[in-house]
Amino acid sequence: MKTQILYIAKKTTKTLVAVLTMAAGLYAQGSSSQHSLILRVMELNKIGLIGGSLKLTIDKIHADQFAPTPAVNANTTLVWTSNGENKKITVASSNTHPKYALRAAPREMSPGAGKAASVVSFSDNKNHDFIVGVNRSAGKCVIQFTAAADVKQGIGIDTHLITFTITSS
Amino acid sequence: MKRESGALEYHWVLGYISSLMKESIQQPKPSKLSFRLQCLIVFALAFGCLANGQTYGSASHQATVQVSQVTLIQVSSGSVNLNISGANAVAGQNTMTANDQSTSLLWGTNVSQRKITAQTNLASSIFALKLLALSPTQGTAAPEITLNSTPWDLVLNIGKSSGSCQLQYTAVALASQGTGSDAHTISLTITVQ
Repeated sequence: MKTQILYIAKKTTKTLVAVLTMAAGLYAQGSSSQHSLILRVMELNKIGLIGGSLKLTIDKIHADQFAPTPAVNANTTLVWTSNGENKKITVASSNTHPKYALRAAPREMSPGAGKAASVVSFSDNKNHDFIVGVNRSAGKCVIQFTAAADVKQGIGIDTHLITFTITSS
Repeated sequence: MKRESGALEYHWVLGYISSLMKESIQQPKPSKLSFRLQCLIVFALAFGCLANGQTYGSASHQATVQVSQVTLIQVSSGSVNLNISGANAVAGQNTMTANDQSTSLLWGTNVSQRKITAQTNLASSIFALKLLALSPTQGTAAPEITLNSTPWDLVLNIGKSSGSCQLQYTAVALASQGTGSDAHTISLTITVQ
């Protein structure tokens, strides 16, 4: 009797081992596969100008004021994208001592993309705030340049290289 | 062996019958009962040996081949890194994208009416992650899917085939979403269509 019980126990154990091995094999084959994907979004700031070079010509004069009429150009668009926070856009001219007055102001700004700073006068080559409060946004605005001259300044040419920069506030 | 044994027995029985017949002829008064008994035994033995001698032997057993359901799927790489940086942005546009096609998917199944689905373990990701099966060698690629925790069809009608395709991941981030990272575990599964 004892021998029979031992025999049955041995047989049962062998069967169980075989079944478990088969089950493990099927599991290892699997019908699903995984891999990991890490997506990182870095801080990025992009700025661009649409319109290229421009020319402001003062060739008219106010008859009643006896002063040259300012020249206005609003053919350039400034575009930017930033996923960072507390950014601003500054502007600077390469001309350290311009003869004639040149001003720039943002117009038609995208809502929620920042706030226009005060009109910038390019009297030196320092950076001036142009748009402030840029936070995680993409936007655009028209740049309105205005050039003015006094009759006493006579004729001449000023050349500026205007640079817009996204920077931290 | 069986055949040789049968042949030997056959010759031995024939020899024995021959010797008995000779003895019966030589003996002047053989006992009727003894003679009949001997004949009966001889014929019984002879018949048995002859019958045995005709069967050369055979053995048989049953062989069963069982092909179970086999389904395998594997990605070529364990990890993918996808970065959205300055190169992926255009000034003035809120949407930024990055693309990865570095991994392939390989599969094999001997069952019909199967498809491959994809899902991520990330229930709420910051950025959108899209997946498209490029140029599957078997089956049909489903339209590009945006991954979430629900399985979405990636490749359809792959039944009874082994094939592969390229995995194209596209990450989409908005400037308004800021910076950050998402860690996905992507599961690709062969399932009933």
